[in-house]
Amino acid sequence: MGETRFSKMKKIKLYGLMLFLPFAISSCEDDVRNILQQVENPDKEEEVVDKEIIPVDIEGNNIGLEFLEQMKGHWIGKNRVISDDYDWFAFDYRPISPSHIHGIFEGGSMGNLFTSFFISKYKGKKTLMARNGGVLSGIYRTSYFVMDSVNTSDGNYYRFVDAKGGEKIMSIELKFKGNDLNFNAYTSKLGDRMATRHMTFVGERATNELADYAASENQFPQDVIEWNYEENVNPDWFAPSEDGTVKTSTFLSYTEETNYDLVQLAQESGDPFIISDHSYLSILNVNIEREPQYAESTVFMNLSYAPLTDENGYFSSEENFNTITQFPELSIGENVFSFTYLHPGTYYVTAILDKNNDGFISQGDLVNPSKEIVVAPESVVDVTINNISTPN
Amino acid sequence: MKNTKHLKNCCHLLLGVILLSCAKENKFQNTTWKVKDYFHEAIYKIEENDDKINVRVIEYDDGTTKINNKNGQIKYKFKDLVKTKKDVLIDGTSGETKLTNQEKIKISFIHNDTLLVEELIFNKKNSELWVRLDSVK
Repeated sequence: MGETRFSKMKKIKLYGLMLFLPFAISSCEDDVRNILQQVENPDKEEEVVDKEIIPVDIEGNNIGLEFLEQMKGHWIGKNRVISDDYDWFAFDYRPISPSHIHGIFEGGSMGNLFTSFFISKYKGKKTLMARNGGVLSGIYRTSYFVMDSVNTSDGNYYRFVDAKGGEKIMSIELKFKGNDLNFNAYTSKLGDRMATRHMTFVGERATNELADYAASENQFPQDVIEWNYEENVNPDWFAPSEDGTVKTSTFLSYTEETNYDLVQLAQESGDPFIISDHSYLSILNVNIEREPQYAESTVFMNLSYAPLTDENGYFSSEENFNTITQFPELSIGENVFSFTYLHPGTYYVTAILDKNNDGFISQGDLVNPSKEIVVAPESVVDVTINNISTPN
Repeated sequence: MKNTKHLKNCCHLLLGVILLSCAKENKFQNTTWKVKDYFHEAIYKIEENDDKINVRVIEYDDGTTKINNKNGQIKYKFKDLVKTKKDVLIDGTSGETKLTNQEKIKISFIHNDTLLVEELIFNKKNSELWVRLDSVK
């Protein structure tokens, strides 16, 4: 893409909140109820919600494997979330099993958002499904989508729709063309009205190296069912709208604890496929020690596969900023941050302390020498960063 | 008698002219607009039916979703808008029932050839500028 996160950083603020918010609200806030109440003909609501979803049958063809293969990669590009444009953004998609590929955006203080794709079974057919969700401000949400459309006439296009309510509730569309990816998410209001576009990611694959390694480790891709939706999902746990009807295959729970137990939160939601069911992924806990005068300063945390700074803490290469895979922003004085659903591998941890509190990386901000760590599969790693002191 | 009839005709003509000039012109009716940015491009047509104004999608492309009229598919960007006295279109629901203090949809002229289209999506305002494709009336 030419430009790096560093050079674009000034424009990047609050990515995660708006990225996550539409999905979260679509499942649990008043707006959804109001939207559906706007239907001209009340009878139409049932039609909208219960329109039959026909999954794409991937038995005996290569549709599923081709999709999984194409999804691999460190994708760098631009993202628009509702009306906010982010000129640098990244998704890191790597296999975590023979038929499951995963990517997560860690936003930092406001929460995270993952979307994974896997082979499953839906209405008796072997198909691809997507699991999308995360935790935002104490709200745990997971939604399930099923692939209902494929078109390879101009690039390779795939659509995943809400596994309960179909395209009228939520959908995810992806289109691959060479190394380019369009990755869009929508929620829709009325049956005959255009879906509202919430996220539009336009990017290209920076590298396949990390994903290829994970593929090798997981014997990926294979045409096997990763997790059986129809056998495991319990519709009684679908989160209802405020009018009492169930419109979406979404699971919700809530906590006021900031130091919550993710597994417990998942279990409380009724989510049938939770983090502890996911193989290969790891957890990284980063502890930050900083001078008392900077206790409230924002910290831009970075995980990258090349060091951002040299041994003295000085930025060494602007190009290395395009090796960042996770970039949470810790804005409420946290001194501990957990990367969940983290791909195992070798990372460099670089913390940038916003010394002048201007909300972005700028001259004089304090940085640590990038710290190399190795995260083994299915491990919990703790690392402490206690030298965020080099002014850049 | 002839003069009286002539005067009467003139009065009718004058009344017609006055009425026509006083009639509120619908600046939106049958106008076509284009929007284009890094993430998408689209062409919309604003149409009026039975006092309700709809915005029909003529073309739309955001990289994954493509819509055109070639297959007879009719999609609407917005439906059932109403026009305020200030030549602004708002969505009928919030305009009529005051569900919110802020219109969910608001379309206003900032120039004869440019519309400001504002949409409230999950309490966040999305704004677009639409440029006129048809000639100015």
